[in-house]
Amino acid sequence: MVDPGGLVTNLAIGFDYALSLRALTFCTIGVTLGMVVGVLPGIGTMAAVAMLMPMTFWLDPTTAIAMLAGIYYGAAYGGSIASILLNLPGTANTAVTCLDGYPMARAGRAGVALMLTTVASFVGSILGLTMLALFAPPLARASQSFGSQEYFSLMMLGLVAASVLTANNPFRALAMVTVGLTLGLVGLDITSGERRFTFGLLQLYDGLPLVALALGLFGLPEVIRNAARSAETRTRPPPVSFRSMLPGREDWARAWRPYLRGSGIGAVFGALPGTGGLIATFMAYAVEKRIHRDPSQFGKGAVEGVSSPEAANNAAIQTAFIPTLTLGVPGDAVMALLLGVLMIHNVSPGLGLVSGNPEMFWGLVVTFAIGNLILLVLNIPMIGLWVRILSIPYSLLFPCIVVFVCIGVYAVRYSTADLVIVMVFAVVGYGMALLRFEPAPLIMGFILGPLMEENFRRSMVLSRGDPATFVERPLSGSFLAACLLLLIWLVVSEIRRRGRSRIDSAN
Amino acid sequence: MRRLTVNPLEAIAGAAVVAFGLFVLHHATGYELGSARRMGPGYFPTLLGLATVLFGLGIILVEGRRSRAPLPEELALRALGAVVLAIGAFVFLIERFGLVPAVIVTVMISALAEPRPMLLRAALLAVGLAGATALIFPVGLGLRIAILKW
Repeated sequence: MVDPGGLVTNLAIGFDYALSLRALTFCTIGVTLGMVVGVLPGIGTMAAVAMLMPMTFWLDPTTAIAMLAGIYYGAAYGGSIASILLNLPGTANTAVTCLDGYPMARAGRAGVALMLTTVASFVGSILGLTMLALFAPPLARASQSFGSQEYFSLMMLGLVAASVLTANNPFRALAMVTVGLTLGLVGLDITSGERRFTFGLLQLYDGLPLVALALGLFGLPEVIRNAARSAETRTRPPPVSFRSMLPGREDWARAWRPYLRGSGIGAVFGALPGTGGLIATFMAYAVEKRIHRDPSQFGKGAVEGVSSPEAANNAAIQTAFIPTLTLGVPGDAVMALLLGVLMIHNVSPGLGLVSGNPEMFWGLVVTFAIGNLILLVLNIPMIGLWVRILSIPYSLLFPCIVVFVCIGVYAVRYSTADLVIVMVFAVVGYGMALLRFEPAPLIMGFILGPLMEENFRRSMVLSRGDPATFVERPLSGSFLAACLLLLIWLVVSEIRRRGRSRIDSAN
Repeated sequence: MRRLTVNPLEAIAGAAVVAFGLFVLHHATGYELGSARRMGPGYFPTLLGLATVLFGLGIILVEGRRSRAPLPEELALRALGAVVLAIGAFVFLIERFGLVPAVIVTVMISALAEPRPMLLRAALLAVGLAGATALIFPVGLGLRIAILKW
């Protein structure tokens, strides 16, 4: 399956790109920004990637992805710092780390917890990256046999899985998906030449701009909510010295197996369409707790409880690139944004990217590895710096965010109309947040909307209007069967939940 | 007989989704539907509109009946207004007066988003940020944005 000689050649090509000054510079910028975003609670990964997107449009696509991906996995490292020191998750995916990380910090073992999570992140990333290097090429080759039916069904599976598995309220998430799909159709319909949902506005003929939509829905509502309560005093994090970070032999002995288990769980969930790091962290934590000799230690500062989820999160981020780069089906909203960046650069995922463009695919693989090495340096000797960044007041931060949003969106095509779209979506996004709608499924739908419609139409033309074609082709049929299973599972768990609440109310 | 009450939050959320779906359906009728074999531009939007309405009803009837989530207690209207207005000011100023005035005004207005804005600190930040962005974007990255014009 894997040809070792080819692997060496490919890695050489990758190193050739990754060690160029350009790649190193932008990778370092990406991971450092990721750390900043991760450390500061109140700025999400999505918002950061969306904010930086416009600045990558003038880069070549490989460097653009390398930098934006750096923000993603960099934030995963940084997110655990706030989780451990303040009990506030820096990013959503490091929420689980609070459970045992904060108790460790209160017991005076903050440094040890930080060291263990950093190493966990590194181990998880490298194992995930190995999976990416091993499995992406064969999967890309297999994708050659995919017809439009398979693509349609796989995208459907990704969207359904993302809504049903990650959200507490699946109907809300499914509604967000269809709203996103619809927003994705705004603009000129390529097949018929009809302008859809443009309301006569010239600015909408090319469709809604992705950056404006993402910032309006993700970045600004977050700023608005945080600014409104930023008068609350921030707790000062305790100082952490390098010396306090050295774990004892017993800690390592307890951590290495969870590292590997977490990485494995993360690698699997990351690669599946529609699931991602968040589910992987919860699964990893649950598994550690279940197999531990003394589960009562969990929640009181168990080393296993911080090690495994961190490894899982980072492994999932790396393997999430497998479906994105080989099939063009993103697993989560950040991957959807990265896919959007690829499309803006006219790079289409698949065999052409993985095998036909080794500078890009292997360049990215090696750059990610180097980025993780840089993060190791940023996190271990320089930990004190990040702890200090944690105490920057939000009142200084959010006006900067607003300004960078303005300049970033404006600079894409020197269009103030795009900023007006941002204003509209900031209001919409704030309203959505009030009604507890999550924007992530909407963004995934938005990116996949035009692709799904195109594949749907093409399949129906090929089958002469018979929708059975989606079920008759074995691969497409099994994707749809998986969708159906998920929906059945949803209904069953709904009924069981209802039965339980009836018993509760009877008591 | 169990009571058929719907939690207000889900009722509003679901109604908004249903309204969006109906709006899409209404507009999609303006585009040619075509046949399943040769779909017109209206076919896919119609399907999506129908699905949206369905999911909206699901929010009301399924999630609304089990949810106890309270309605949001306070609206951060001040913060929302300040941030949207700050972007509006940027839109108004950037092409007329250039980057520096646009950044200064945007920072000052967005600082009003806080319940107790610290205006002196915001002013210092505004000046510093105007200088920094002028150095980064037009000078450093070569973007075609005027630094100052009148």
